[in-house]
Amino acid sequence: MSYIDPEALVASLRRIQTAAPVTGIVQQLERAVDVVDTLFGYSGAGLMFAADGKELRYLVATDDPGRSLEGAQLHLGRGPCVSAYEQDTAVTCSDVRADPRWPELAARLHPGVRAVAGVPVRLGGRPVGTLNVYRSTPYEWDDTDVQALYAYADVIGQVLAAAVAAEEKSVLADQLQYALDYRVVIERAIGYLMGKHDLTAAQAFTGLRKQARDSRRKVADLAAEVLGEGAGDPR
Amino acid sequence: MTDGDEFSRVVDRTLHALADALGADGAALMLIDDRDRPRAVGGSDDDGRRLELAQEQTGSGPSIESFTRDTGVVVDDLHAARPFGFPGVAERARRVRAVLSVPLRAGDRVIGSLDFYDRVSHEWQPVTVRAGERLAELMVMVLQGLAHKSSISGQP
Repeated sequence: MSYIDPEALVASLRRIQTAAPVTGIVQQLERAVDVVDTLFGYSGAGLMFAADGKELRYLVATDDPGRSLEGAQLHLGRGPCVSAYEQDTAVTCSDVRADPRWPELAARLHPGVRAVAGVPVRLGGRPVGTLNVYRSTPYEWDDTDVQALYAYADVIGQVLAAAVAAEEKSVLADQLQYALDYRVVIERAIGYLMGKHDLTAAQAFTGLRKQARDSRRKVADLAAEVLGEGAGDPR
Repeated sequence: MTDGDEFSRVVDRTLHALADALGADGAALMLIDDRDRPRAVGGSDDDGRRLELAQEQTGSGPSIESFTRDTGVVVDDLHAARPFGFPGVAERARRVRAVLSVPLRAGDRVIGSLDFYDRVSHEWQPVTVRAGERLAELMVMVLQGLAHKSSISGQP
């Protein structure tokens, strides 16, 4: 049973419509992951997403170790977060470097990734991605941790549900697909800038984003230019 | 299904998830409508709905204070005498005791407030208040997402 007044809600949404421009779904998901990360004091967090039921891909990570966690799992096609998506249930790992379920993972991970937990993000009752968090020291996840993660994953699912309710589903899927595709180009450009100018990943991305803003261009287009490619080819 | 029904379902689920995330018994929502009136949108359960309706009807309460002053408001026991509690509101929402109310901001505008509540009185720890404020950002994301639908402009 719902205890929401639809008329009061819609009348209030009309005011919100005029309050501020709405950011895209990808920016909203980035912020949502950032909130989860800082709220619980995890070492980092990330989100993997499977647009239109395709393979799981990396969408958001809060830092370099988080990117390594998502990248390593996607490269191997295995890992706690991949399992969380495939099995549609929470998967935890107290120390990913000593876990016999994924012995090949450790070699590809940033040394700052130790304890890992992944929970499915669901839309319409079906998993569409995973919310992933990690700690830099071994840690035994308990039921309270897992329940809180489920709750956050559920909130993220509602952020998606709100976007689906408001947008044509195809428009939303396009936004996510674009982010998933061009994330690869952006990551490669970050790697290139890090090597060329001796920057950290964060410095490289911040510089790339600032230059894109200053020149009123998309980060992906600038990233493609940095790599000497046309933005039409995300791979 | 109308937009209002579909949107209500999303807000209902979001309030449940936010309450679970904070570890509170429930969450409830007061928003300012397109005529600048505070509106009791509802709650994750009947206690939350009553809490918001009581504040809308009396024109007072932690939600009203929160969005009026644009700051978090903590009430350890709603039934306590003023200035610590809101007995007029408590009378209409008897089962609600401890309330944390945080403002909801979209851009530079306050659009309402989000209440977390428990059915036992207790002090709210600063870390919980901060968590409630961060969770309010997620509520705003959901509301902005829903408000993005252009067709709601024409509805009564």
